[in-house]
Amino acid sequence: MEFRNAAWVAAVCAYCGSNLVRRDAGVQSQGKVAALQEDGSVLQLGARGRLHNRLFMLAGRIQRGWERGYWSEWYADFGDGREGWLAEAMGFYYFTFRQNAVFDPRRLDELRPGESVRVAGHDWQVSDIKDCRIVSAAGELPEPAVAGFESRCVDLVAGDRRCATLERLSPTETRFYAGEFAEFDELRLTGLREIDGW
Amino acid sequence: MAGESPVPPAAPPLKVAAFRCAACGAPVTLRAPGRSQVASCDSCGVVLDANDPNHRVLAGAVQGRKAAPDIPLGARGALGGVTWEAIGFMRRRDGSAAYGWSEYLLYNPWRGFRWLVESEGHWTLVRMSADRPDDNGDGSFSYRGERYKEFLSGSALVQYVEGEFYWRVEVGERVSVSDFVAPPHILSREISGDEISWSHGEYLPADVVASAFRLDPPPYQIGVAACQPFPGGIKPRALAALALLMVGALFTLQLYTVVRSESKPLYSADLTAHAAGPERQIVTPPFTVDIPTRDLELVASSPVNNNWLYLDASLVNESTQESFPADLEVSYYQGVDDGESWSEGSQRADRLLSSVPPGVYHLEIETTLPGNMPARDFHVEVIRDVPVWRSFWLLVAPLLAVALGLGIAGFSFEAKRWSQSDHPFVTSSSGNDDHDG
Repeated sequence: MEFRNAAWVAAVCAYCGSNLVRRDAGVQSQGKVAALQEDGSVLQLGARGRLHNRLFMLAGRIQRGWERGYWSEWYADFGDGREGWLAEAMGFYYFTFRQNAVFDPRRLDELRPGESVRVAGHDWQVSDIKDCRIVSAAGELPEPAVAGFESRCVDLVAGDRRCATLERLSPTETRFYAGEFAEFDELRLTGLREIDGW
Repeated sequence: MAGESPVPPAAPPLKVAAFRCAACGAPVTLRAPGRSQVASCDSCGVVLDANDPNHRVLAGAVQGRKAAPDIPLGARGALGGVTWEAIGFMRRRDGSAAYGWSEYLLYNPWRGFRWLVESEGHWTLVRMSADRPDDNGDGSFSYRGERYKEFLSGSALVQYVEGEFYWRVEVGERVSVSDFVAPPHILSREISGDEISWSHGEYLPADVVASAFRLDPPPYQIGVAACQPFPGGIKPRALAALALLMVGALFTLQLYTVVRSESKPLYSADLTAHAAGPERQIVTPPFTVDIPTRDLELVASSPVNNNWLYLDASLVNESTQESFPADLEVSYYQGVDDGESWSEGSQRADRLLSSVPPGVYHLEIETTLPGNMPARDFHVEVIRDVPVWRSFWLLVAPLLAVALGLGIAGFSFEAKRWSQSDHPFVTSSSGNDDHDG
């Protein structure tokens, strides 16, 4: 198994499904991930596109499950060290980047859809709240994806197509990802998954 | 970026999925695998869980009479250059059961979902909004640079479902809906429990939908739809405003012309009219029409009182003998009847002569007086470049007619539209008479 980028610390072997983590001494296996579920995505590993003329490639994938189905988050490599994530829902393509903002994890219990919330100096509106778990993973990732790992994801929107996600990883840790959503044609995606009959 | 690296193995193609109906065993296809949460069975009508490994029955076939969709599920059509496949159909009606409408769920693997809504033959292509409109606080909302006026609020009840859906739709499901319009666009807000979702739609002409999905014949259209634009892509209010703006511009131009016109007298004389004899014929001394001029005015005045003076005048060119006839009648009557004073006519009369070329001219005047009057003094004047209003009115009248016509057509169209809303601006006269004390 070869790590294509020095910044990546985790990868899922495309052939045996082993979860690999880089340590100083070398690569260790942390067991196998579960099989991917069909989530209807047209994206796949290796697909390329552009965001504001910056080229990216989808290098990794985390698939999450919730009460009523599955969705995938794609780790986008821009080659500039940023941790970009692409997710698709209802035909909108949400591009977010990991931010260094701090948000009290306990407040994620109080938020309700439609409510306003201030994060990282901006006003957002809560659009969706989901309790989810990691189902599967593939490709190369900024950190290991552990199947069964549970978190609460709160999706936020603001004007000018800005969007964000608050993810509570533990009772003491919340992460903040912020960016924008784009239309399919704007991303000029290539190397997409084949769709039978279309 | 590691561009030279080997590309990961391709994912298996996305395929239409199929399973057996848990109730009757008939095959059920999933046209949007991984996305649809429920699918109905074509044969027995039950609604099945698309994600459950056993595809358990979520709702029995209690739907009663089957509603036939105009667009068959599985049909594809191109709208705005994008191919969509109809995968779901539902009939909804408002809470008061006053009217119903159809909604088709359209699917494209790359572009997600749209709703094609048909109400009384009018079609709207609707998309879920990823962002939220701004509340203006006056009942209207702003979205992507447009202001949407509140149109209708009520509840929407699902009456019938067929096909597949990305959420667990249920017959009897009720949401509150508010519509806001900025034709040809519509914003809809649906509230269900504590979830608020917004969608944005655009009116589609029926022939566009009919040719995309080969509908034969398309549903009959009734009334004016909430977000239907005025026919022919015309914005009647904007056009009427443009016509009025042009009238204003012409009026300004006309005023400028009036102020600027020199009204220069070319000839002026005090003369005496005679009732009989050779003195009835007056020939004035020559005068010069100095520059090419659009209009000359011939003015006569006389202090007649309950009396009249008639002048049969001609402006005659001395070198070409070309003659421009102009008859003038000065007549003025006044008096007091039943304590009220009245008057008729004027002690001044004028006549306009168009396109008189420059040259030396004189006036030939033959006078006529009432029989009881042997002679009367009068004053005559020839003035050039008098301001003319005729061509102004020739331009302005059709513009005003267009503005008025568009205004009336636009008003009646809007009145029909808003008659279906919570805020009609023309109230029906069939009810109680407002003028009753």
